[in-house]
Amino acid sequence: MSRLELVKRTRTDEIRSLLRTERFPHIWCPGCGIGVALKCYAEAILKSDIPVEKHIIVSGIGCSGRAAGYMRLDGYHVTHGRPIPFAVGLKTARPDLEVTVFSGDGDLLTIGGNHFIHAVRRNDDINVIMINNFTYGMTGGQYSATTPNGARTLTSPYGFIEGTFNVPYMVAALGANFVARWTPLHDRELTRAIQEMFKIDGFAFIEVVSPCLIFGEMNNIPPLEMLKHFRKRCVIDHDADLSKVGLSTDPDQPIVLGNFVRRDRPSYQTRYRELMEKIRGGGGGRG
Amino acid sequence: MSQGLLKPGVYFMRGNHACVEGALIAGCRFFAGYPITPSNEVSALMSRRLPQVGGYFIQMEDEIGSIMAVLGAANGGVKAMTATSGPGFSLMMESIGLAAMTETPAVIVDVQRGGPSTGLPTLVGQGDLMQAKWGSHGDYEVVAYLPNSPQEMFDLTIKAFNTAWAYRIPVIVLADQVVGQMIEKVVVPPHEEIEIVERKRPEVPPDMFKPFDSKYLVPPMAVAGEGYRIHVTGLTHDDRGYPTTSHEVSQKLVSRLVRKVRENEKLIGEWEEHQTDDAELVVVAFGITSRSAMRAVREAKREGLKVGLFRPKTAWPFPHWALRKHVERGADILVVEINMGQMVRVVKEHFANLVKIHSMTWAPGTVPPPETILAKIKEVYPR
Amino acid sequence: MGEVKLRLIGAGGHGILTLGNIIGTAATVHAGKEAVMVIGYSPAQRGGWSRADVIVSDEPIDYPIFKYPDVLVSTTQETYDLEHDNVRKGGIIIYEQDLVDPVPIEGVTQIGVPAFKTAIKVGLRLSANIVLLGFLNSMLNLVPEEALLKTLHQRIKRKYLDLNLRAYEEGKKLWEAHSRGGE
Repeated sequence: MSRLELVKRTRTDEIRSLLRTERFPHIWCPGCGIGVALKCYAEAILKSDIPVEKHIIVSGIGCSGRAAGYMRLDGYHVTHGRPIPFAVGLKTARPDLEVTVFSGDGDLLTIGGNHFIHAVRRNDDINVIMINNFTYGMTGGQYSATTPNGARTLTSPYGFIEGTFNVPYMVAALGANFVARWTPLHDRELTRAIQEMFKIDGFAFIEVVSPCLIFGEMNNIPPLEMLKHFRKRCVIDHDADLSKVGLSTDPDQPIVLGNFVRRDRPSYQTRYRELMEKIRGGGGGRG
Repeated sequence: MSQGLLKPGVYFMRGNHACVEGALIAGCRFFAGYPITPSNEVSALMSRRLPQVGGYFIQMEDEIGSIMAVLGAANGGVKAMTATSGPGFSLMMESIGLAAMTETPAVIVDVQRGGPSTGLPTLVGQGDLMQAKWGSHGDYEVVAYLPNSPQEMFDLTIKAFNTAWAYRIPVIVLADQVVGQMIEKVVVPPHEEIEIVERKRPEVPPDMFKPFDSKYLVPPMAVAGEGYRIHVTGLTHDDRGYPTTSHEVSQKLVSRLVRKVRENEKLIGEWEEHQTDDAELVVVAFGITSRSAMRAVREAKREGLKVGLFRPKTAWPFPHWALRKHVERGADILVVEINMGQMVRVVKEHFANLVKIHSMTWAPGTVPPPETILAKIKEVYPR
Repeated sequence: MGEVKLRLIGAGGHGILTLGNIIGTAATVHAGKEAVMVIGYSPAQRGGWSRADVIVSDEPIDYPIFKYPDVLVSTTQETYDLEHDNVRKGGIIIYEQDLVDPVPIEGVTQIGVPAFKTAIKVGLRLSANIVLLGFLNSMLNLVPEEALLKTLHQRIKRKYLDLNLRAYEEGKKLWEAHSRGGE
């Protein structure tokens, strides 16, 4: 066994130690991007200097929402659309924890949209990894807030007509401290971006644009074709004009990736602790 | 430890404020809420007091966010609560089910107002009684306390925390607009005399620990970051916390969730009685209505009627075993409540066809005055 | 003394709730009595009235809500008009003399008190409620004076304390003058 192979094997074992392998096979379709994103999260945890037991994963409902159940971490699989407020409560009450929300576009931006925008506004000190597969995969492929216009889904059989979130543009405009977009084909970049998230005080967000077999099936894109499609269309541009990075089904439109935003607005939790120290230091509240 | 907490002594205090001070003494160090009348005094005082005692306050974007943040904090091992009223309570229902399913202790204060819908935001109601028990889908049990004074807003909020943490369940303080907003004498006893219950902690190392171990009625609770690396899900789960569709596991889990309360109902249930010993008519009333009923039964006695008052201090579990004694003596029952007949259904569930069960319903957004209750007493008094 | 039902009502900003709170605090915290206070507001958020229904009693109070007060204190015409009919027979109405034009009511004693004028004379217009407190307690002996003074010392900011204590004394004097004149 070569030295390189040995290193790789050890790495794989370490990653496996972070997974609840006794729960495999997992529920994800072959060719789905969620598993790769989860591996990148595990890899980033191993590379972080935060002890493993301080890493917490919170998920909602949906395919991506099952992530919490496959990580050997303290993991919370909560109600549909609500992992963000759960994570906010946990992080606020326990500043020592590194809390990551791992969920999907339907969960976080559609049913959970209001929690999302207010968590960014407050700049809550949580990490959010959002798998964008353009659809509700688990319930058979209905349209979500990130379904591209024109796309066919279970509930848009004639093509989607509502309008689509340009996610990085929106999250940047709301004031997040870190905004990135990657795909499962860019696992090294994604891992590094997650590592970066762990270091950020405040709301840190990565959109993982992910191939979805269910979405592909309904739009006549075979699984392998979809990966080629991704490969062909992806362009890395960290300084991209975010107003122009909205996703569409047009094969000639690029999928723009990158670490777009890095800011250091203090988080709600940091500001609250400062406030608390000031109040308590001032002798307030001795009842 | 007690730094910043309300000192023992006598206070002239608003019910909603007494609730806050009780919560802090009970160990509450996290509050999330959303503005709603008539519970606003709770979040306002929490926002001032929590940073003083080293706790965390956050105003969320809605009541769903509030209860979810409370569940997050509780799973971090921090005692947490929220406060709301009817419309907000409705929004919290799905998450109360999550709390029951994941056995997350939490305290929810519902300062009831007139309903349904937006109803009477500033006026009193008691129409959330059934919702408190049945509001979320599926089978589970909660405990709900029924304070009738600022003193009980203090005392029963502390009890609510103790019960929530002892049984790992959501506990509701089902107050009402008058009790929440009235100001009255509140006695804070020496802190060392106040019983405070903490969670039962895991006693085995992580590799042996099962977070939902069904050999216990209430399994020990591991919280985030302790190294137990637990999985907690709202899906039906086995002893390890892993999702399953096993019929056997589901049956066992759901049974245990309800048994936690059902098997301990006599330990949890509380009530108070006045002049019931020889009463031929027992008036059942709770919250602010019990105080009007108290005046009415006193007056009735003065007029020579044998009438007593039975006041449940817990809606759920309903202290039916205590009321049964009077039913067995043959006393009739009159239930007075500010709703269209909710508690009377529970009384009928236990005692239908045994004695006469009368109901006085009320929904104008006021408390039924003593003289109105007295008139009803005279109308239904057995002769 | 048994039990006294007080209805205090006036414009927002007249210190009505503070007045009720001081009486209730003095009674419960400093005089070993029972007291309860139920607050009400006009529907308008701003510029409306506020009302404090206070019961002071030697016995535990079963029911805190009442319709017919023994004593009504009213500082505006609007609130006087709203409530003067509710005072029980044999009861008392204390009104702000310069703002309220009373109507004759059979069986009810009505006394005008120049609370605002007195407060302005003292040098703190906001202390009109404390002038009323001095008047009210001298008349009714709701709570021992010592208990009231303790409450004032605890509740009122140091820089306004002296003026409020003077307002209280002026209120007492107004009652003394009234009772002498009345006999």
